[in-house]
Amino acid sequence: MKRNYFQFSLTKLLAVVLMMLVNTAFASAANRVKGNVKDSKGEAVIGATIAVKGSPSAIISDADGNFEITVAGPSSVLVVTFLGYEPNEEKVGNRSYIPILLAENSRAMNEVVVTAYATQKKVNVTGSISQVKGRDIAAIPVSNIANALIGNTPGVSGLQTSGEPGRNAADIYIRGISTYGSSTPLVVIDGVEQASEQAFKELNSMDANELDGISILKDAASTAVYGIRGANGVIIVTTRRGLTGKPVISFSTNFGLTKATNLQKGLTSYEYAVLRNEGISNEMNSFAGNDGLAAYLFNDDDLWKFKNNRDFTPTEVSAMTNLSDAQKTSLNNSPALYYGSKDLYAEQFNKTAPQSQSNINISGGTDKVKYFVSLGYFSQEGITNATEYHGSNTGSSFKRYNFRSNFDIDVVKNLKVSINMAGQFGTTKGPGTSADPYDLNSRYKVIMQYIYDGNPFLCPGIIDGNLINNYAGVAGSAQNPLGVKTGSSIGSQNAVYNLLISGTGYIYNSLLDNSVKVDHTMDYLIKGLRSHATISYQDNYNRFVTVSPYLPSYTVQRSTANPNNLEFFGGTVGAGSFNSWGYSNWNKLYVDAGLDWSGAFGNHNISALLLGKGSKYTMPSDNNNTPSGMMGLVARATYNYSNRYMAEFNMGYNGTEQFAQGNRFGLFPAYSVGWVPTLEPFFPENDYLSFMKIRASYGTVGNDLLASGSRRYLYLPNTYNLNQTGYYLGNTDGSTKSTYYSGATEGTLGNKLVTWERANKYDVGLEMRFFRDKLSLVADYFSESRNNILTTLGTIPAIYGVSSGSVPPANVGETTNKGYEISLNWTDKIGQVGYFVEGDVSFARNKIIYKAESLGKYYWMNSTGFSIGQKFGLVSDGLFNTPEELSNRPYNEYTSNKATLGDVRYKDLNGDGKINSQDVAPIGYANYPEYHFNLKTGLNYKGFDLKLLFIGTANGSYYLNSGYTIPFFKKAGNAWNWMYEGRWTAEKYAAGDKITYPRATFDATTTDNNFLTSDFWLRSSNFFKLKNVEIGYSFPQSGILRKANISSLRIYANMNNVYTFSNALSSIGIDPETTDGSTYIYPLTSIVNTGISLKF
Amino acid sequence: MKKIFVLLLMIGSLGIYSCEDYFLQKPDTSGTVNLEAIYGSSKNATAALMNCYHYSLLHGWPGGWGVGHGALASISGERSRGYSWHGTYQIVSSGLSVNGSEGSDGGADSYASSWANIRNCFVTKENIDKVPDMTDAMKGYIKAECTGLIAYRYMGMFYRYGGLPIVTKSFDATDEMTIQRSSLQATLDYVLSLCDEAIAGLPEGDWSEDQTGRLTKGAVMAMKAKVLMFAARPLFNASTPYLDNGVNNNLICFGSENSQRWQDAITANEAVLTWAAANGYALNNTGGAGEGQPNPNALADYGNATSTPGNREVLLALKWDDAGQGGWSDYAIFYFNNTSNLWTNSRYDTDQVGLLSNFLENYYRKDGTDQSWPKIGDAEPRPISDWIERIENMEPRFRADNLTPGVQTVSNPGIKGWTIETWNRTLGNSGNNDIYPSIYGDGRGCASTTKFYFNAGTRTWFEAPLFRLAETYLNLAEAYNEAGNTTLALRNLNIVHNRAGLPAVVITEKSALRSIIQREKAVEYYNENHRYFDVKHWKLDNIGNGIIGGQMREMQFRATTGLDANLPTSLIEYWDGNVYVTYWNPKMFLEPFPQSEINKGTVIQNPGY
Repeated sequence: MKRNYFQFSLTKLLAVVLMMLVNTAFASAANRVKGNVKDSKGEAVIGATIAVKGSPSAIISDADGNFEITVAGPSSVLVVTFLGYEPNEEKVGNRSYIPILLAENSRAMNEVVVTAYATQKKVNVTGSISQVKGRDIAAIPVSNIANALIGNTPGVSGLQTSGEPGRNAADIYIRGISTYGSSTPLVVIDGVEQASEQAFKELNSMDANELDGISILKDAASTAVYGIRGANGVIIVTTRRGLTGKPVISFSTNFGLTKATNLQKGLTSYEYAVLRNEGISNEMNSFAGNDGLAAYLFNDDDLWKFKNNRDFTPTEVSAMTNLSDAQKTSLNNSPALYYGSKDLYAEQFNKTAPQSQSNINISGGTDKVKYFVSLGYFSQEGITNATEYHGSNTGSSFKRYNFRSNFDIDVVKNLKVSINMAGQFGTTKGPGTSADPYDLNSRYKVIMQYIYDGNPFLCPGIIDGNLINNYAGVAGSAQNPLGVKTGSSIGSQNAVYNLLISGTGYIYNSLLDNSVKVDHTMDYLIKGLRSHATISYQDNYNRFVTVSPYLPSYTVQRSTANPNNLEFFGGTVGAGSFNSWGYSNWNKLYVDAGLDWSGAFGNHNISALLLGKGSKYTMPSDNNNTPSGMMGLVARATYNYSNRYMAEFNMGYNGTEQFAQGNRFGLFPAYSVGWVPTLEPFFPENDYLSFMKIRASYGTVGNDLLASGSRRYLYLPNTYNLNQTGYYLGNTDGSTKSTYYSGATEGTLGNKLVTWERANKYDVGLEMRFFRDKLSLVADYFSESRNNILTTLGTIPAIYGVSSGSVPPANVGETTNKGYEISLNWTDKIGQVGYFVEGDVSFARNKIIYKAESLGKYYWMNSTGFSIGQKFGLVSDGLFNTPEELSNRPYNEYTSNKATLGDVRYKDLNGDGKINSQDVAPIGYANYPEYHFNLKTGLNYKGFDLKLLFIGTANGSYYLNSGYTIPFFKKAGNAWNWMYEGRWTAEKYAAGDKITYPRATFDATTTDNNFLTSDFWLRSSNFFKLKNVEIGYSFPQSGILRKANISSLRIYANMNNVYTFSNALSSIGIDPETTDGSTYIYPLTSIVNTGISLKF
Repeated sequence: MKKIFVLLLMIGSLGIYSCEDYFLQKPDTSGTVNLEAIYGSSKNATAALMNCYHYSLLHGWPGGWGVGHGALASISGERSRGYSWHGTYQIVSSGLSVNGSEGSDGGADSYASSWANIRNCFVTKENIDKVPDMTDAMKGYIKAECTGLIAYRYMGMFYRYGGLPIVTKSFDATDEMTIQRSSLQATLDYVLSLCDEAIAGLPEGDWSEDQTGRLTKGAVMAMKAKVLMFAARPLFNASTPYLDNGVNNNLICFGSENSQRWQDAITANEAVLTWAAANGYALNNTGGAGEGQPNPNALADYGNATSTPGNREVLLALKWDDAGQGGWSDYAIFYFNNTSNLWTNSRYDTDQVGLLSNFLENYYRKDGTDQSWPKIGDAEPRPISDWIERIENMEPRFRADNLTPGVQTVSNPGIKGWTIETWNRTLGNSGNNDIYPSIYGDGRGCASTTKFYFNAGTRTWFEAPLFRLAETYLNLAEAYNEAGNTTLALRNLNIVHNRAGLPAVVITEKSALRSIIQREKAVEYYNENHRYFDVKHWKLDNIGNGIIGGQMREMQFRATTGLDANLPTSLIEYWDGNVYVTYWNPKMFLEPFPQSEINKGTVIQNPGY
């Protein structure tokens, strides 16, 4: 609570400061009226012109649709107009507050879209572009903009590697993956291209309240001007700017609770013991030489104790002659120390953690200066239980402060200067950071390894405030009765203990982004000519430190004299450690300058753009990272005739550091056309089909990066690295070392001839609106073929002596990617209830045509011909249920043919009687699904509004790593409920029960029959979930609000990852939006959030 | 004014365009240089050579064979198999895989890294003449060294794979690289020609003191002698191969058994001895007992020969002296050989590599007779006093190379970290509740290795001997015996046998003597990367029955609850037990080529894979 108070007062303080900063007097007049402009969806219309009929006074509605204007009297009439809407006239009457509803223009002729380097009328757009409004992003209570985009627009989707605060951004893709090279889209923020090295860094640190909107450019026509960087689609982000009018202060704050969406269900210690006994018996009975395993079996007394949570059976207690009856009774009722039961997974990850966000912004402007200034604060805590012990803490957290100020200054009549300044300051804290804090894999291994290596009873954690790392007694004695039977090859694992000692890491990050844009209209020279230039500088600084306090730890045992008492030993306190891992920083300079022109000759509308740009990314903190640069020339020409026929030519001409002079620049043209038949004079006005547009585009875009993305200057000849591993020379008898001579090695080999990877993209689109625009349809079909993909040849024999990652690259790869997006929207009003329903389907399927891989004997052994990311493994054929099935099996070369009843049966694909690498074939799909579905619906009634977002996918696969599937790893590792419930036994098979897991095994490895890579462990990642819900209420303009000068007040609640319908991964505790490939996953989270927003 | 403004803007926008150098040119700030810079100075060229030495000679040692964890001894039936995540464990469980194990590209080797080293050596050899500040004599030596290092890698591949593609230069990307495997004979001829070229070009005698460790004529002569031994042994020197390979039989077999190959081996090995004698190298025997007599200083002489850097029995060692705690793959050589408490870098990853009972039985008692160890099926366990008495009566080589539960080290007596009290983990398989004849733990066997660390004190690194003169004598014993010269066979055998403090062998029957020579090689070269290849090339009948494949056994010790099971006072009794069965298939006589290479269609796979 203390923290929240602090937060609130901080934001209040900021508000005051802001108000003082923008010292604009509130206008006061006798005949002032206020009002608000909304559209039929209940959303504010920004920038609408409000004029008083017959008078020169006019004003523009502000960022929330509010306005205030002087009128002559009650008979005055306000004329409200805005592009894309039907004009509306309202008589003032006696009202002082006038709500105005603008009906959207049936043909939405003037709606605009932000595109590359321009804003275009939507009707004239010939490329495939979808848009997301800033407020739709802000309605999703997550910290990363990328995550909020998922589901909000067709063709954009992603997977998430982690649910940890500050590290939970999703990897998003536009129209799927179409190259086995880099598939990361380009992000452009306010016209400034982000560095490929830090593609999402700034976007994901932005406060959603700063956003005006996001455009997603998907086809060649819309992305060609980005040439080099546009091949994977472009995300254009526009931040909010001030509008002429008095200052409007908006304040919003919300608070929510996050928890894991799904956790793997553990076993009780009793179930664990039963399953383990069964596994041991299976090994002993099936394979010779395993008699020794009998030592690990739990006996009936052990099982009784596990089941009853007692360390002694009543018989054992009554045999303790040294105890009084009272002591015996007490002991009979004493919960177990040695035979307890803990769900390690839940204990670590079941915390419900707070999240909060606040923002205050002020916007407004005069004829000369317009401004938008915003301050934001975001804080999120992780779901790891924040166990505190002697200064160590196992929690995760992320805090971020955002600042943005956008100023537009009209210096002279035809010169506008825009100055944008933004800052993002984050602190990320988390456990498991004794190593590189950026190495999430290692960290999550530290965080999760002990959950997998431990078991429900292995070590008790913290007892009476003492951190226990082992039992004091000798293994096998009464003071450590299970030490021998546990037989752990690793030791007494204790998840809490290991997490506590794993160190806490802090990453302090600050990112500053400043840009200046000059816009000069040159009507004096040629009407419609404009020149503009942008310069931007981003600077990012990270510092990371780790703290590892020395933790006193204890061993524990029940007293031999009176087992009712616990005895603790140990507890030494030593020195802790503080490590600075140093800092890293990067900065990026971006400049562009261009000319554009637009003009109309009768019904012929023509525009043109010519722009040059360059950028340089530098990472001074990394000696090995030389600055990277990019430059290009952009040209565009558009033509339309009466908004009916459109044609557009776009061109990017880009250079890259990757290729030699001569091959360095690539030309990427795109052509597109559009036709709007409904605007044809011959087309009858009707209520059924109100709008129709057909558009098509073709173009080429490029890529200059290898799949790994790490190699630079691909054209340079053989490189050599000095100060590599060397050798010792000299004569020593071992008392001293000889003299070391450092070595030099050959690095990567270049190819002077390499040049651009090219993608030829086709897109055909259809946009239709029916029933007076109530129903709208947008459909796109796309087809892309990539050739000249930058590839390191996998076909060069080893005798070349150059590792496959270092061989000269070549432009040889070829892939295709085809698919479609369909979006249907119904928006209507029943009485006062406005509502909408929208459904999107997107599909993308890629295929590797050529990859320069060495080809296997059978087609299924190759990647060629299959999807990028296609999984390969043995093909399972159920389990060996009968001795006949077992004895007729082909010889398994992976396991020396070791198998028994209840084991996985594999298919001998080539029929050679052997299971070997020739039987490894494509299984399932790639991890990234082919189909994505969004279902959005919402309604508003008076002040209430409700929005629901459902998302789903199909044709995706998730491979369960061996860490999930092998129980009792290293003899005492964990086992899970889904194994217990689904395991094969002869009895269950005979009874016809559902069997989803092989027979119980003990101490198995990945070379054992059941755990070979196969489709047995492949799960469908298909899912359907209620992704987001928002419900809100806007208070009507009542006297109190007006007195308090509050122009709008809204309260709302929203939830993210609300409910996931049962899917193939539910039982394993994995959220289907998780990236596969690791056993160590910080679970994804859901949130329930409530908030309030108000405007002055 | 306005026009000037427009002009400025236009110049500005195009001006950006003229900044190609600023935006796109590679800045001159990176640490990389080009070929000219490497061979533009003696210092850099030497650096290239040093890298060649390090990686060429690491071949087969931990960190240098592709498999992440483990040593060859764990797949040759000397030491236990390691943890389940070790590549050695995977190989022992399911054999050599065409897809490799734990990081190797195929089988138990890194095929690709051999070629990478060969390339590096060729590049240096081909470019060394460009170096301006180096004498012609030194350039000649370096070329010979590169040739010798190429021969070393070729030798390693020759006895692993059989016939190989013959590469005679560093390839350019545009070269034709689809070179098929040559016949075994052509491969042998090529390796021998490389050896001869290197021998001819290397300096006479030793390098100066500060350059010791570089290839000498003697080292390459020993290499040549070793190659000829593998050519003469029955796996290759036969009319039919170990598995029929059809028309490609000549890749894995000479096609006829020819006793001349043994004569060639004898000549080459005698030449090594001649060179050694002329240059001050000799088998380390300081006892002065005279020929045919047991050496009274056996422990120290054998210990120093295997462990003391720079000793005169070693013709060539892998001088990678850095046992720092850095990136582990290069350090794995120490990691899997120094299991003492002085080595602290993840030492618990080496808990499961103890001495197998199968191999223990090769060692002699110090009087030269066989030791009587517990057997599977014994009626009852033996008391620990029996164990201690038997260990104390083992031959010096056993005591130098192994530390066993309950018996103090003789190789580093009293040194903290090497004693049974300070070892700080259990030396053998032991438990408190262990009940005969069950086996509870496995992996630790009955001893931890202390080889290469005789009198090492606190030194954690060692220099791995690559060519040690004992091998030359044992080669001669083997070759003379095969050639029918029993007298010289025995004489050479006994030079090694007597040095170990054992009385002379007198058996003259050829096959019995062959077994004794093979046993001598096993013991003398325990954990020294010989056995994995020797037993295959000897084509031992029992190779799949307790040597490489078959039932592996380890001793089990019962200890008193709660006490340090390394101490004699804690140990109660011991017995032998079956621990795991190792996969063997005759295809494993030679290594598989990586499947990825087969898929490229340029090499023919060895039979059975």
